[in-house]
Amino acid sequence: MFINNLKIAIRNLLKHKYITGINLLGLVVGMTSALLIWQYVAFEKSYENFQEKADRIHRVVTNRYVDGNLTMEFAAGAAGAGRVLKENFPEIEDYVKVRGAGEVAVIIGNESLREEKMYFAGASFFDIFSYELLAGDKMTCLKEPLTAVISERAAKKYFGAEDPMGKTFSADGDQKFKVTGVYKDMPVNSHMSANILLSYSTFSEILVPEDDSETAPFWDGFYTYFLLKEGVDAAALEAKFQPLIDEQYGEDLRGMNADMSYVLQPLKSIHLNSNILFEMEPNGDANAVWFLMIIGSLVLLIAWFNYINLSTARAETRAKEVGVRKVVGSNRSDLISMFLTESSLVNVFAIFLSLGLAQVLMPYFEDLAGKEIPLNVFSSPTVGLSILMIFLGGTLLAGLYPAFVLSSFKPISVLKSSVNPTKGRGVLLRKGLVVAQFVTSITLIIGTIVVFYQLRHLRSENLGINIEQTLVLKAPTIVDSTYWGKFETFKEELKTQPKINWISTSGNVPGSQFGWTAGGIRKWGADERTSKNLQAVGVDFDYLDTYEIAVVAGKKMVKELHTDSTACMLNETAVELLGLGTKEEVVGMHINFWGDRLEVVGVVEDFHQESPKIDFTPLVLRIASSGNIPNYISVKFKPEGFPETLSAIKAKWSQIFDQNPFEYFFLDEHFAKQYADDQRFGNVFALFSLLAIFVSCLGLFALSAFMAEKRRKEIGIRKVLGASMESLLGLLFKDFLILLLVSILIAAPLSWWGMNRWLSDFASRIDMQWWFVAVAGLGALLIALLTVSAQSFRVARANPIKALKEE
Amino acid sequence: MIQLKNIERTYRNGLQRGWILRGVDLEIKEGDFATIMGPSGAGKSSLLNIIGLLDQPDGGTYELLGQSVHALRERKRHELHKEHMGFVFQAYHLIDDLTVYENIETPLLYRKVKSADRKSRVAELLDRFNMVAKKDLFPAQLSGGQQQLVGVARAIIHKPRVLLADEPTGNLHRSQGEKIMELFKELHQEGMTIIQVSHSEKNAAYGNRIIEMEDGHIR
Repeated sequence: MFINNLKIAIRNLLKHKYITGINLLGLVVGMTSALLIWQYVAFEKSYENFQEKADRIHRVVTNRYVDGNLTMEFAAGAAGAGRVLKENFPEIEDYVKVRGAGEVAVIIGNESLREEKMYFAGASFFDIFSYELLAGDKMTCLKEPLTAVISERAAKKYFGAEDPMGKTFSADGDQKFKVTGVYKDMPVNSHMSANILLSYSTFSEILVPEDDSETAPFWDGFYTYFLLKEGVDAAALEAKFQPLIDEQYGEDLRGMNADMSYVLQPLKSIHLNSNILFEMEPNGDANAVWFLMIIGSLVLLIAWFNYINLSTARAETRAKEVGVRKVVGSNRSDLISMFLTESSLVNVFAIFLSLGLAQVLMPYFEDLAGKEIPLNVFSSPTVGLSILMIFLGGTLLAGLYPAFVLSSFKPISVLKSSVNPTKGRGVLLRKGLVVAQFVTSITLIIGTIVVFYQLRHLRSENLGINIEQTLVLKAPTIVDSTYWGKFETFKEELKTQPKINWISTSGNVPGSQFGWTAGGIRKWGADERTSKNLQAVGVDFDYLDTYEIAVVAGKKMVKELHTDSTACMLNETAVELLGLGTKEEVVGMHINFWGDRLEVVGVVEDFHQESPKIDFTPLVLRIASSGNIPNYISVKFKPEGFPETLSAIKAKWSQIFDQNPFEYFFLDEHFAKQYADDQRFGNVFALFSLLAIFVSCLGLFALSAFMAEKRRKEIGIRKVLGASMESLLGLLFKDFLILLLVSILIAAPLSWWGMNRWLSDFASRIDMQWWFVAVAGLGALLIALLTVSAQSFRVARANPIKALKEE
Repeated sequence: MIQLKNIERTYRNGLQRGWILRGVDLEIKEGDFATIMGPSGAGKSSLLNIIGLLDQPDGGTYELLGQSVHALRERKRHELHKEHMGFVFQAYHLIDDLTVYENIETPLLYRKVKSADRKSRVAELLDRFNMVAKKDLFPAQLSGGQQQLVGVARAIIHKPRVLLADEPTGNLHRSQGEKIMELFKELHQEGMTIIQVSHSEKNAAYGNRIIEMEDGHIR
């Protein structure tokens, strides 16, 4: 019986090539889209799955409050968190601390290379985490000061083919580290990506005197991971932290009118759900992943709707066969299994094609998503199986309804040729599905418009600073006592270059988070409890000119009048936060910045340090003291003759900072990187919206062909009676037009809600406009009419005699 | 074999109710070759459908081989239909996508007949109807008479007790029609019970009984 069903199914599918083709195309597009997106989503959700103890590992987040308001959330939190909590709570089996080592020049022999992903890591690092050690002992490799464990990648980069074990390198020419282990490069699906791990004892025993790094409650910048004992409830444990904090630091905190709390963050939730200060790597966005998941599923759903629609629309042509089969003895279940065989055949074929196609398209999708996705249905059996189950489940559901409808016909009614028993059957459902498809398509069109408008808005937002024609050099890290002298020489010599307008050094440049959060800032002489947290950046006297930052009150800091311990400037948001008066009143006041008495010489206009997606933050600009090495040198150059300018800078650099690698980037490019995630989201959104619309139109195209075909006789009669072409087309369009209008009515509020939700992530955002809906609606209308008219024209123009003779 | 008593079949048209069949009493004996005759709309086909278990009466009783059909459930009625009835239609109603061979074989598939058995039975019938050469053709490639031969073969392949035919020669040329009637006669002689609906006196002459209908009654 099955063989027979299969044979009939194949014959039927081949006979109706046109319908089979449309179904297949729709299903393949839908399944391939779903596959690509689901693989991506599965990958995003697979972070830290490789960690054997993942469920027991929690990161300690330090939250800081001022005046009862949460002001800072640190992924890398208080230095003292680990020890004090471990000592007080037996639920904590072990902990490991990790601290960024900054950008460092790694020197081996005479060569120096810059290393960005370098961390200090505690001795139990490889015991708690499951990163694979290829050489060295996991319990002892990070124990001794001045030892380092490096990744395979780093081993290759620094030591080539040689065995790195036991070899030494120096960081910025200060300490010499001995390599005591090599680990396999950290998996891509980890929130951490370190190339070199230095033993944490180097930091706590050599770099920091006393025991400060293990006890300080207000010194942030330390990642602390707890390994909880089996069966410990993290929420219950977390609840016990506050009394301890009160007991230990309560007095100090009250003195500063501040508060703090420790929050446990499950390791697995970090990648998608944590986006706070000092994340190790840019994390994913659960919201974006959720949106993509929905879009991918929608494209597939639309394809299945097509299948259902086309199958039930064809009911009439198959009704006779059903009647005959019933008369010669088939049960309803025989017929259902026959129709299911047919639908399974199409779907299973589509599944195979999609699996292949998804493999082929993966590299392109990776480009689009801007991310390597080393996971697919073949590499992960669980993901593969669950996707397969969804596909098969959908196949069954999409086949079941048509099978039930088709098998329900009564033989005596369908075999009597005069009446049409299939009329009205499934029509409501078909209309419902068409509406669902169009609601989806229109919503996605509106979504695409909103996403791109928002992106354009972000890019066109006035930043308040000029980031064009700015070359940023990474400041030297290998320094000695002569550094400051050399540094001034370098600056002065560059200033004499005719093609360079301005040059400025700073601790930070636009396009990155302010790395310096300064607490305890208040009016000089005021109560400590009035302190506020501000972002701070150390700059030189040319910073405002270099970046064209406007001064709205007072004046700039100048070399002749001010020094690093006498002057500072605030931005407008900071003035507001401090609440000491208007910006004019604030000028001339003195503030207490960590004991320094600084005069506020002026107020700068708020500018966007980061993407306008993020709100203005309160900021204090102060002159970098000579002990503080700036991180960046910004060079504002004239566009003409740039290559010569660059080589001149480079020549000067090598002459003065011989051993330091010369590295630079263009600030506008650096700044634009912040838009990359949203831009990619927009591209993916647009692509899959387009596919959803395409698949909907495929279905509409075939459906309209059926409807037109069905009405051939009616149209023939109307034509003979003198109906005009326009009235005939109107007749054929009318049904679809109504469905489309209903769809627009449903899609408008739906997209309004969804897109407002998406927009709420942006500090600077567009408002939803009524014309987004109008454009999307009209667009869909146009596309639908074009699709429907292709078939309708043919039927409306046909010779009526032919249509009428056939009966 | 078949006993109908006071059979009624009604239809509704808005508020009006009309009778298709009214007070029909009929007995068909094993081995009968009966022809139901009468003008259009007399209820001939409706009666045939009820006898063939494709339709149910709204009133009256129907005994088939000693079983009270009217009291049976749908599933059981379907089983009886499957076992005992064979149908031939005026418009042949072959399945367009199946070959001659497959059309004839279909009823056996639904009766879970084993493959080897199916082959021999289909081959036997093809041979008997002189259709062996045409077994791989599709219905559209056959003449009307040939199509109806396939229709008859399909109706009797599962060895039903009753063969029901609704105007079996209505769409055929005279000579083709005669051929089908000869075949019916042969089957009758072999013991098959046959009930046909026909307008033609000539066709009726092949049988041994005529049932005349008018306005839903038997005259």
